[in-house]
Amino acid sequence: MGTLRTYLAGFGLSLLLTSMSFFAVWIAMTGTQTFISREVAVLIAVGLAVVQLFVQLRFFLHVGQERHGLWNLIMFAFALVVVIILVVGTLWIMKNVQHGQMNMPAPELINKEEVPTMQMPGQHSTTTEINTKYIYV
Amino acid sequence: MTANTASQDKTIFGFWVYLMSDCLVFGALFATYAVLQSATFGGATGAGLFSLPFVFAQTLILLTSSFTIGLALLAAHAGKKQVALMVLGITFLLGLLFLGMEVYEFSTLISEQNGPNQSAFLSSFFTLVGAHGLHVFAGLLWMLVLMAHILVTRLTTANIRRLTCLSLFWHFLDVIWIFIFTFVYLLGLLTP
Repeated sequence: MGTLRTYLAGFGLSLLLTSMSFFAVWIAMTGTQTFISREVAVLIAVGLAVVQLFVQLRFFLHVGQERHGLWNLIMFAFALVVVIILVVGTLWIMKNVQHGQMNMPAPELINKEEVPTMQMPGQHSTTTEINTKYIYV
Repeated sequence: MTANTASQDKTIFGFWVYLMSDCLVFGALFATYAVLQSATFGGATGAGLFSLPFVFAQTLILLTSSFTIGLALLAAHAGKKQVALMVLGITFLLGLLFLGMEVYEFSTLISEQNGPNQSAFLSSFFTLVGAHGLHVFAGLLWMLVLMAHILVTRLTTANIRRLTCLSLFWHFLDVIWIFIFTFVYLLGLLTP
């Protein structure tokens, strides 16, 4: 349970952080790319989002400040760990899996000369030879 | 009184546990989106679809509503029924405006042949942002019912407990939206 001061502080800080990331992206998109490059804008936006997460947890959700705040905090920490494992693990695995995936060309690109047509399994081609080589190695 | 307070705390803690498990749902949806983001199947990318000022306005509206529901909780604790109801009404209108903008965005995308059936990127985009919108919709319904409760039975302990849970839910949705704003919209616009 907060006070008017904590809500005002949370609102003011959140407004400031949201506006900062908005302008960083705005400048990166429209500017001459000398002031803030797109890569820097990505870092700024992600950094400010993480800061704002903690601002809102502190001033709006009052994590860890209630009577039995420790349990709320433990639940939050647990959820945070699981979400990080889930998101980072997914990205890590899927990045590796994509190396083994067949890249499907978009429908309008199929049958154009620059994109080779797909080979069916069983059809004799160099692709299947490479695949069998990988299986037996 | 002490037994009553203890059961109140248990209810709020239980609601907090629900919110944290909801976090895992959104974590899974974010992970799905991150993996499928580039799978546009030759169609439009995020940079071609999103509008920065539009989504910034949405963010400011939701942020303001998160602040006003805090004010409603403060007014309720101070026993100011009329103020609490009025601020809750403002929160409801802001939430409705946010949801209206989201429905407008979705219908524009679908009418321009960029619906969820166009690519894996758009499927995961509609699922993630739609899941958040569905939560906002549920929150708005809850707010209406709670305003009726307060009108009829005044600011009872039970109603204040309900308002506390609703405010946690609403702040939580705002936090989730900050991540959607950053990781879906801002990073989508920055990826050429």
